[in-house]
Amino acid sequence: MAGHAEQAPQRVLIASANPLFGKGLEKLLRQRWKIAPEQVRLAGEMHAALNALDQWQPDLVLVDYDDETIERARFLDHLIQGGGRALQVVMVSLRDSGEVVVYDRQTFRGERAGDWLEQPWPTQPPSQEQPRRQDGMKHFVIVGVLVVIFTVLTNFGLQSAGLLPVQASAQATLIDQLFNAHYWVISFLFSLIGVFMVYSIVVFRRRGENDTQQGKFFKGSTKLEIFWTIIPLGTVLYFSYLGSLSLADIRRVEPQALVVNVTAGQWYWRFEYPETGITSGSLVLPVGEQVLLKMTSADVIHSFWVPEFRVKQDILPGENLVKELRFTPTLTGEYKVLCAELCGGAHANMNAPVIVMDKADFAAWEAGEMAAVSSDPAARGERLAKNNGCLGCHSLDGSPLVGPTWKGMAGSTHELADGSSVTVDEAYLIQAILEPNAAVVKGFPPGVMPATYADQFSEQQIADLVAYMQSLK
Amino acid sequence: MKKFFSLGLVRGLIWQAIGTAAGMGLLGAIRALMGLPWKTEPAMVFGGVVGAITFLAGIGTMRDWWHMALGKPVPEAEEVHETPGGARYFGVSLDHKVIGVQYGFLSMITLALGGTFALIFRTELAQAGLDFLNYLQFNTLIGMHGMVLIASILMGIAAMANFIIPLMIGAKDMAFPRLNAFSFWMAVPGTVLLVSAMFVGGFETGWTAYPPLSVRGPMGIQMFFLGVYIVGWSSILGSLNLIATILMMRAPGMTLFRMPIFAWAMLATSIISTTATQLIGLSFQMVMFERLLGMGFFDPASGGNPILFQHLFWFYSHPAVYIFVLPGLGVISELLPVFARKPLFGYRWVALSSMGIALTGFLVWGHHMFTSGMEEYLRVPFMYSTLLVAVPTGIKFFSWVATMWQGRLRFPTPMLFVLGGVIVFLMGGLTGPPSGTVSTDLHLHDTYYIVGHFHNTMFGGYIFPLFAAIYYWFPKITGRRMSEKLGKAHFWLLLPAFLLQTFGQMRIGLLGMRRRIADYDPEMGFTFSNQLITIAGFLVAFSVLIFFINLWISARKGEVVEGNLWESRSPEWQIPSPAPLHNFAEPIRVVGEPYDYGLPNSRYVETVRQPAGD
Amino acid sequence: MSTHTAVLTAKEAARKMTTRRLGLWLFFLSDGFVFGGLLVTRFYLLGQARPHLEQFLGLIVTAVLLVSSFFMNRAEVSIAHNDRKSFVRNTVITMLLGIVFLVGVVGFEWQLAPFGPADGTEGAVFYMMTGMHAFHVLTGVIFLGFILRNGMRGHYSAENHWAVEAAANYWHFVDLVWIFFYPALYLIGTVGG
Repeated sequence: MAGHAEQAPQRVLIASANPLFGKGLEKLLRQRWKIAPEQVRLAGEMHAALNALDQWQPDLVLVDYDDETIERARFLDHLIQGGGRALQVVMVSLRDSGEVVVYDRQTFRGERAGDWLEQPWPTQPPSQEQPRRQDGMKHFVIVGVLVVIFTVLTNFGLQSAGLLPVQASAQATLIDQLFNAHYWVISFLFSLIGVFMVYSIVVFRRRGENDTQQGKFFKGSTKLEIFWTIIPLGTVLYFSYLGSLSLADIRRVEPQALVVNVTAGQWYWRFEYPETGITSGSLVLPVGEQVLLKMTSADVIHSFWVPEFRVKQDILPGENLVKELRFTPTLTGEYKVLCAELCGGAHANMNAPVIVMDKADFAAWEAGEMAAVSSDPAARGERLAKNNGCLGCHSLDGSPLVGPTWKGMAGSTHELADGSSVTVDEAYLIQAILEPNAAVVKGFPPGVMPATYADQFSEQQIADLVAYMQSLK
Repeated sequence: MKKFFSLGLVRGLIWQAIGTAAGMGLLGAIRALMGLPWKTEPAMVFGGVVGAITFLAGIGTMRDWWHMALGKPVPEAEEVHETPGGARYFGVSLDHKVIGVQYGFLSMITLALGGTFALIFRTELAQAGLDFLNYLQFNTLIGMHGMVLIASILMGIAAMANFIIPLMIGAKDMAFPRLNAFSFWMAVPGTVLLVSAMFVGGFETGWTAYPPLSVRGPMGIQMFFLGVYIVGWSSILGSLNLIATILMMRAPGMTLFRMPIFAWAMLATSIISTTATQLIGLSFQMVMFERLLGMGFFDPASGGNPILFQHLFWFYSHPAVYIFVLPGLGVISELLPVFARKPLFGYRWVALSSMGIALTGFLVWGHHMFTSGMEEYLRVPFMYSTLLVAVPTGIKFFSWVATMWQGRLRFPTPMLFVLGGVIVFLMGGLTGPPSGTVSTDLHLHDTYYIVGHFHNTMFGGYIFPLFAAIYYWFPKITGRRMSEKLGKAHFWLLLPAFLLQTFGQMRIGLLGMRRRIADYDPEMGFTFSNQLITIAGFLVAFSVLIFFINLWISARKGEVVEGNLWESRSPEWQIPSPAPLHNFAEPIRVVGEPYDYGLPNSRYVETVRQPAGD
Repeated sequence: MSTHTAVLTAKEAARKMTTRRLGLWLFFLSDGFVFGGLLVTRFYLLGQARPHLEQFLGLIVTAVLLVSSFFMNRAEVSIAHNDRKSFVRNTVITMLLGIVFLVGVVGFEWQLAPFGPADGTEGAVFYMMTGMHAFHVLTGVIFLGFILRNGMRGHYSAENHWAVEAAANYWHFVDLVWIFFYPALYLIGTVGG
């Protein structure tokens, strides 16, 4: 089924309005290919030519077109729409520039198509530069070496750039291992594409403004395509597998974990230790013991994140949507939990201290917290203020934060948002806690302080808080 | 003065204002009749919808359809008289080339606007402490930056597709020219509404608008929702038109595997945008109704679930990023052969890789929700599907490299931006997998690492190729070429500045800087990096300013080029520049392969000489 | 529908029709995603629970809508055979049935339902699903109103009735959506969610 120049066509149709030309061409072809007279037909006008095309089914058609008697377009239609047999159509016009255009239709199935792709292009004109095969290999060798060098260099750079915070949890160590695996692949692919590109830009460039040379003509390679599909496919599947192992590792459950109930709200953190009844505004943890956080939100979506621990978990409102997070701190020190889901307003400053201490110190802390049920209302109030996030918005040193400072507040006079003025007495302070938006001080935003304290605190606790505020001169 | 008011755009905006006021009044009247007091928020939403409709009616995009509905005779689109001169860009035109430029204008305006928002909040972030913005202003600006730029990207893509595709496939215009004009003009009131969010209270949620936060808080979020809804419809209808055009209007002989690769890219893109976009509309609609009517979809107290929003939202918003990059990647594939003077390597594989990315792109949305508290059994499958997208993407990169390999590369400005796009998109693509793997993402989610990653992919997959496309096809629009000097200045300033910005962002993200924070603790050591990032951002903006100046000057005084400036085989370069009114004076036909650069005497298309007397 | 008089070859005219049909079906595909999203919402939020609804009423409105599709088809087939009278008659019946559906859902079911839109996920899901669907039925009725008017004035013929074909397909599409929504709201799961 081939129509290559090495063999001869079986049936040749010559379409030309010029009988002399047609006969001359026929003679030439029969000499060249040693074909019999009945293998050549002449057609002087379109009707006969198209009939012959349909019924006689030549495999080579020579068209001397003038687009009046013999029209190119209709032969081309035929070429495009005809059946699957091989067909070469050669267009020549004596009236135009003497240009000859060859259309070569071949149809292949299956592997033959692959074979055809591998064959050298048969009609490469002699004027085209043919770089020798060795030149091609030389480029690949240089590039190959450069890729290896840059992969190693890039990976080294990534590893030593100190890109990650200190590892303060068991999870951090496991996760950083996966980061390292990623760094290798990133380094390799960066170098591979980068080196090839830069090399091409430097070596395969146009030589001067007047260089009209074209690039080396090749259109594709099925083998290469399959290769660079399968290898990446295998790699991503492998990495996903590594990822699933890593996820399972960091979620390993220790039955004796320390449970801490976390409440996040706009813009505070509260930590409650159910075993000991302790409430705290800081997350205090013993080193080396797994922690199980059970987290809920008082309002919108927040997220718990300590960069040194790596793991992160969003926190949702709703009793049925409590979210858990497990990790094991491995390094004593002071860190911060940062809210990692935009929760409006002061999200940027929604932080709380995370203190990891060794086991003995932690036991001491626990004991201290449980014992500190003071008889002094102001001291109790101070603990409540610290443990319920009040100090996130109200300072003790006189500086205005999101809310007014408590220093010297009790007993002073303030202007309210509506222009009236008020003396900050006990009644006002109680109202300010229970109904925060009723009488907002001028210059401070309404609608920010939570209005849930009426449910959260008992009357005694409110009185203790007020006592504390009154003690701050 | 009279001329000003005769401009369609002006009439449309006036009608939008009238309609908005009328809508607000109407809702107030209805509420009063029901015995309810005035409430601004529902009035604004209703007014906004009515205003968008009156804009579209007032500017005249619906007139022909109205006539059709009434059974009146309506001329064929190609017989409609086009307004001559510059005024035609300000009113309804059915010519895809005009519409393409109109989308281009709107895209550049929103680009400048969204970029300016970033410069403002980056200035705030250059130092620790809240310097001149308060929390609400900062949060509003980052949300506006995100969504206004998303709108800009959608419109820039529409600009490229509208202008180029019909020319490239040998068609006279798009399949549905009136729908095309309608789709463009919808984007104008949509953008107006979106931007108005800043002026009616702002919003606190960032562009992702998660409830419950988006259900509470300032009213600006409603204008944000409404604006996106309308721009989304513009996108849906525009891509519907593109699919029909690409499938039905190619020149004779242009089989699917003989059409320019950019058409494949736009086909894949349009399949995504015509379908997935409905889901962001639905999810926003649900929050709007939760605010307006108390419909508790996402409120746990009512039995709702905030995670449902995230599923619906990301079901669009992930494929959306492939909408954003597939056209640009198509531009890269389209231009590399021209400037390497050799065929696109593995054309079929590149074409199908666009479809592959589009398909797999629908299956990965959960990777935005790894920390959300969604169903645990979903995390690992989404990780697998996410990493899988690397395979068709890799095929593109390897094909580009193979296209350049052993070529005869030339480096005019479009090629610089193509190469820059490849490099930057490579950075984006390589920094994706750590976020696509669950355990590493637990550290990276909601940090500046993510910000760096997606700026890399957006610039590499859209911004750089967009610039390449504009420098490349500018002669087809204006008959002149853009200044090479200014173009090179633009490029050589943009690339290093941008890489400084994103590497800086990724670095501090890894070290613990969260995203969307108005302020940061100076003790974390991020101050210097933030300053560098801010400076880099200003340099990026300055480079874009150079580009705008180049556009302005070149349109007026650029070097005239009437022929095939880049020696491209593609159909649009076989006709004069600027492209004539109905594109092809004589129809064309495909007689060869699109990318046989370097094959002597081969042609891709030729004109079909019409027999005399037709 | 237009009375444009330029001569199109048969091939070009056929291609134009195919293009229009493609555009219409792409629109259905796109719109289908909205309803798909609503179905996902229903099952995500309500799971195995089903809203408290009037079963008999649901059955009636469903029957009305299904029957209306029958008459819609008859209308389209009529005009495809140049039977204008039958076309008009059947289109009117379809419109009336559509209006009956809307009255049944918005007029009755919405009033009779023991919950409002703000009453939990049951209310939110039910009113959003039926509301979006009813909006589409309403636009369908309006669309039919236009083709009825044009049909009565003789604008359509066997060779030239694209608007009818489009309206009819839209009507069937909206009916198809209800074929999914009805079981999702009325049949699947148990009441008491």
